[in-house]
Amino acid sequence: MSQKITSYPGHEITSDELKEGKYLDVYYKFVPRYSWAAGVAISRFLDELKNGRIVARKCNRCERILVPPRMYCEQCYRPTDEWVQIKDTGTVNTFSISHVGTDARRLKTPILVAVVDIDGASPGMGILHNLGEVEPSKIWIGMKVQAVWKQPSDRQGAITDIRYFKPVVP
Amino acid sequence: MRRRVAVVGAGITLFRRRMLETPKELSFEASKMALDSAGLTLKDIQSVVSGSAPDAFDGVHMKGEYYLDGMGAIGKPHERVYVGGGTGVFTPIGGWWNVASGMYDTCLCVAEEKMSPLHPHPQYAFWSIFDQILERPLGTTLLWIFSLEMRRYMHKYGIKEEEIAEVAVKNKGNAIDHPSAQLGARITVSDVMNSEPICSPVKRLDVSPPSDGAAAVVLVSENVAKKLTDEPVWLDGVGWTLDTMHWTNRDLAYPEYVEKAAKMAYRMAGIKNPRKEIDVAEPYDPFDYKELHHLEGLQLAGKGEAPKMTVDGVTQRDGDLPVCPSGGLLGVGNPIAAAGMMKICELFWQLRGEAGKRQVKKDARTGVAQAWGDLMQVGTVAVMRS
Amino acid sequence: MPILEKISQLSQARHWTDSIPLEFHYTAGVAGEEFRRELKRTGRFLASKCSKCKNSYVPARMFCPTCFIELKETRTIEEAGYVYSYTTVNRNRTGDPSEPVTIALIRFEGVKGGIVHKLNINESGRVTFGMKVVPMLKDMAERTGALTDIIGFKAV
Repeated sequence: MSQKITSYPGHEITSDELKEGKYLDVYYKFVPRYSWAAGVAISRFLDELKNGRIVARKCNRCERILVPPRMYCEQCYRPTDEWVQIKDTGTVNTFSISHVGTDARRLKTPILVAVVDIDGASPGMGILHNLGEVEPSKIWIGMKVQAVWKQPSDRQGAITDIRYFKPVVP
Repeated sequence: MRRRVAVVGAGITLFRRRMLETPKELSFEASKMALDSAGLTLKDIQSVVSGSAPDAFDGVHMKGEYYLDGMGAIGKPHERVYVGGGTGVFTPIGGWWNVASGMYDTCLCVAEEKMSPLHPHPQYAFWSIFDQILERPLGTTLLWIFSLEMRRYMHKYGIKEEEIAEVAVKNKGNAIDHPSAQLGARITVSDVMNSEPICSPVKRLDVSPPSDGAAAVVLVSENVAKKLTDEPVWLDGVGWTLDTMHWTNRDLAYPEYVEKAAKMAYRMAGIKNPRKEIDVAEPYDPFDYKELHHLEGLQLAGKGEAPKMTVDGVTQRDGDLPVCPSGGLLGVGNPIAAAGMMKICELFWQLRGEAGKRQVKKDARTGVAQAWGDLMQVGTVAVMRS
Repeated sequence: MPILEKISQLSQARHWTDSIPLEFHYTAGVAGEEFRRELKRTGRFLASKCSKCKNSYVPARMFCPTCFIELKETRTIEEAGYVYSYTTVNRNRTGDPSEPVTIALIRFEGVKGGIVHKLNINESGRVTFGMKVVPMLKDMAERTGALTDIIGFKAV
């Protein structure tokens, strides 16, 4: 069936050729919808977010305070023991400025994203979130930040109840 | 009782952004080439191990069952292995079990990926890699995790973007000599620095492209290898480790999971001093900084020292430790699963002296290939010897 | 040891709803392109023949799955197909009731493989196993080479 066998087989086609209809192109759209169970730990985490608080879990054996919270410690491989309220401030562990969106298209306004180590949790326990109210060039690793929450009436019990983290002005 | 396993044939298709072939046809082209190079036919193959990353790319549910006739696996025992990007090296590891256990004498290992069907851009499927409740609502992109990791790595060891860019220059240059390469080109560090910023500090020329492609190797037991060829390449060490999905809790500057996988493989292969005993390395390089990150995880460079090795020319083809002589993912292309297999094929050709223009200057006897995947959590390592 | 705390009231259980929209553009492949061109041009099915095992396959393929060699010989199937099996479906994809549609697997004598398509009952009358059928095609101008160029099969 192939036109010729070369040492390294394959037939390249270009996106223009596809658009022109040179090759049969079958289109199919598929939108599966899911309702994911949050589970025991994250259900409580989301409820606390609605109240404007960040909650963590403690493992009494390794004494780590874990955020995002989980009902079992993955290192000790045993159940975690108690809920711990932690702060809504933290330190920027690493950050980036994203110019592309989820579908690889360029964004008009870049998104600022960071891993924020939360105060009150064990060292290195970070969560992924956005940064705001800060110039991209003024972000640095080690910068202290504070969560900016939505109004209580707008909160849904989601990670987006925190709008973003902003620098703490000393 | 474990038997020694040899690689006796390898095949690879072109890696391009978009190919006409269906996944079955891509698999056939690579498998046939591997069988022909080993001097075997499909009747000689007793089992097949295939590797391919998310079904969402090809857009076919239960991809393993779909493409298996392209791998000659009809009527044969077949397993599909999948650990994200680590699949390319995990596939021959799966094949290794088949033969080392004594269950089969011959095993065909094929890795295939067709990323082009997904529109508007294959990257979109990666969106589901993030936690659905705590991370996706933030508008995540796969590039976030790499850029966050790159920034942390640069910060911890004081590495400059220019030093990292040297890797892209080297690999794309090396890829000019690879017949399957998608992006072989002569570029300079300033080309990389001036390329469009995608997700700082990652720029366009720091990234490997999405591709379609397939690659395959034939694994056989020792007694079969001796009958087929005078130059088998032994798969002497395998290792693999996964880390937690809670990546925000991890030290992003050092890939511990790669270290664990590498130690497992080195111990099996009897390697005590990797830096001295490994002649050529093919670490996974979807981003230029990842090659450096992985070299350190593979114990081939001290922590934070890999950039200096690159700048000093140690990792060039004529250097003391050539790294990615194939051109790596940055130059040859990144069809997720097939990319790791491409590295295995490259080591096969390098260790037999058959790599043509890509052949490294030193007499290469021992090589290590490594792949990495998922949410920065998988390390798969293979040590090969001639 | 199981986890120490469980959710005791259903109202405490949270869930998160979202979708993962995916859009695909599939190419037919090297062999698929030839098959498609024949269908568009003449409305006939292209089959491949293996020079080694002498098996023929429809739709046309690039390689023989048993001999594992490239298939270079093709022929257009001129003869009518026959109904190998059929069923009547009265549910749609989401499981809701819908207009009944009869689907058949149509094979060709001496050829491995077959075509799955709709069977037009009104034109065909009663369906029987082995019944000879031919495709009803759209106008040439509307054809693209996809299997939807065929509106359905009817009895000869």
